[in-house]
Order: sequence, then C-alpha cells, then structure tokens
Amino acid sequence: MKTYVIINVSEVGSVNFNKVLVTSSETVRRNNDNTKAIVKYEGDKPSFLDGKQEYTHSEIRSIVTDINGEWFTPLQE
Amino acid sequence: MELMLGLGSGIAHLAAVSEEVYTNTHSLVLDGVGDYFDTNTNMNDIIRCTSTPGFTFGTWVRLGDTSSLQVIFGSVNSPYQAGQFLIYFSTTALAFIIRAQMDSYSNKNCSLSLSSVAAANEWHWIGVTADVSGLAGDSSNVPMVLYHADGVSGTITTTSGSTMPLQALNNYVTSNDMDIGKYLTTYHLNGQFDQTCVWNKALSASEIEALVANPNNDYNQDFGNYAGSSNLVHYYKMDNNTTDSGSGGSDGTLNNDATFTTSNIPIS
Repeated sequence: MKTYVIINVSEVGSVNFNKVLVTSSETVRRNNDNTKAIVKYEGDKPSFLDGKQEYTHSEIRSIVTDINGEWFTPLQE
Repeated sequence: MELMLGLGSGIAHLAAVSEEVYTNTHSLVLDGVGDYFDTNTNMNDIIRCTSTPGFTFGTWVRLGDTSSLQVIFGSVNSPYQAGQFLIYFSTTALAFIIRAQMDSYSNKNCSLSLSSVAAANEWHWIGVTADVSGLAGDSSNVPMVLYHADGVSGTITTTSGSTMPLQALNNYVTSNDMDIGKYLTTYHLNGQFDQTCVWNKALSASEIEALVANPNNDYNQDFGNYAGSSNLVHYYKMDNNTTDSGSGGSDGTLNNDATFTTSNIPIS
C-alpha cells in the first residue's frame, strides 16, 4: 500500500529520500507557488513524516487534478 | 522463425533459420502524481527534420482514469513559443500541439485533436506523424497526422489539416528533455506505457495498422506492411528496463516511483 503526504517545501531538506518513493528534491512534485510538495512511501511511515495527513492514491489524484486547486495550472495553448 | 525450403542431393528438406523471438513481458506504470520517464534527450534533431524525411512519435498507453489532462509525450522550451511538443489526453479527447518560430520570430503552431477517444483501463495506440518529404521550400507547409487506435476494437481514427511551415519546424528548439508521462510539473499521466517509439520518418497508415495489429511484436524488425525498423531512433520496450533499443541509444531514467509491471501488457 502506497501512501502520499503533503509537506511544506521548507521540509524537503529534511526528507530522507532513501525512505520515500521520490527520487530527489529536484523531482519531487510541487504546487504552483512552490510552497508545498508531495512525497510517497510504502509500508511504515517514516518518522520525519510524523503528524502529516495521509492520502490514498485516489485521494491525492483528486487533489492534484482539481482545476481550481493549487496543484493545477491551465495549459498554455 | 523462418522456414526455408531447399533441395539437396535431390531430396527436399526444411532448414530452420534461428531468429530471436521477442516476448513483451512488462509495461511502464506511472501514478499520475509525480512519476515520469525521462528520455534524457530533447529530440530536437528528430523534430526539426532537417536531414530526415519526417518523424513519427508513437506508443501504447493505458489510462488509469480520465479525470484530467494527462501528457503522453511532453517537452517545452522557455519561452514556450520557440519549442513546445505535446501529445496528451484531455478528459475526452486526444490532442497534439507543436510550436516553433520562423526566422522572423513569428510564432507558428500545428494543433490537432480527436474527440471522444479517451477511455480508462484499456490500451490505446497513439501517434503523430510529420512528413517533410517532397516539400519545395521553407514556406511549404508540413502535413501532420494524429492517430488514435482503440486497443480493444483495433479501430483507427485520424485527423489532419493543421500544418506548420517547414522553416518553423526546422527552427524547433528546446533545451529540455522529452518526457514520457509528464509535462512541466503539473501534467502527469496516471497509467501505463508500452512499446514507446520515435521514428525519423512519417510512418504510413498501413505501417501503423501493422503496429496496432501487433502490439507485442519487436518493432526493431519489419513485419507485414511495417517497414520502419531502420528508422527507429528511440525505442523504449519498457520490458523491466529503461534501455533505448533504437539507434539513438538514449537510455531513459525512471523518476520518483515510476516502475514496471507485468499486469495488463498489450494483448493482441
């Protein structure tokens, strides 16, 4: 079971990328104003994510695809 | 395996010619949140078609949902007017857009769309061709075709009509890699990819029919009406590795939790 959490970008530096399913700080998914980031893990929740709300895949997909939300920008066409 | 009939010592016999048989075992799976496949090449030379007769971008793709705009191939320059290449599914349609600039820096684009083709949890073959063979000069318009094949019925639909001046296409430029399943930081695809290819010629409709009818063939070998193996520049079989089996040799990179699966590979 893979789980997603949203963290503040200021917390990205404290992420142990060996314990999450994110390659690096360069590839982590960020919101439009670069204040939040999404990290994913499998199994036990890493301690540096304690207290963070957990989301399932369908829940996080709903968040990032919300056209009125902070993770979506209109396509330049 | 090819069987050859020959005559020896007056007695007919069969001789088997050994040939590697390809088995498609895996596909790439992305979560639509942050996963993507980086081809590690911007593909500028292929898209410009300055020394080739055209291009074809094609892949098998299986959507996990149709809730948003999801990018299949994506690359963009900054500013985007000088180089933008996008093939994507919206919630219902398949679309293609390419942007580039004339020598005068005037902006040109080609935009194509096929409505009502997006469907979740089934395979699609999608492709775009550009054919510059026989064009007379810089102002000639490059014909482009957007293809969609329903992986269940095999029905192929196309659209064309929008073009781009050859000079603009020749000027296409971006310093960013072509990504599979991602465009910028916003548009990710939730689903699977298989047999992801880039050719340096415009495949014909009959060649594409052959690909669609044979999703698990080795596209590095010609078969039926397909004669594109020698033009296959980038070929990501997605068979549990990121190897580029085309002549371009640009192995890809899995980012975040992009991985391979044995589930639901294309079945002919």
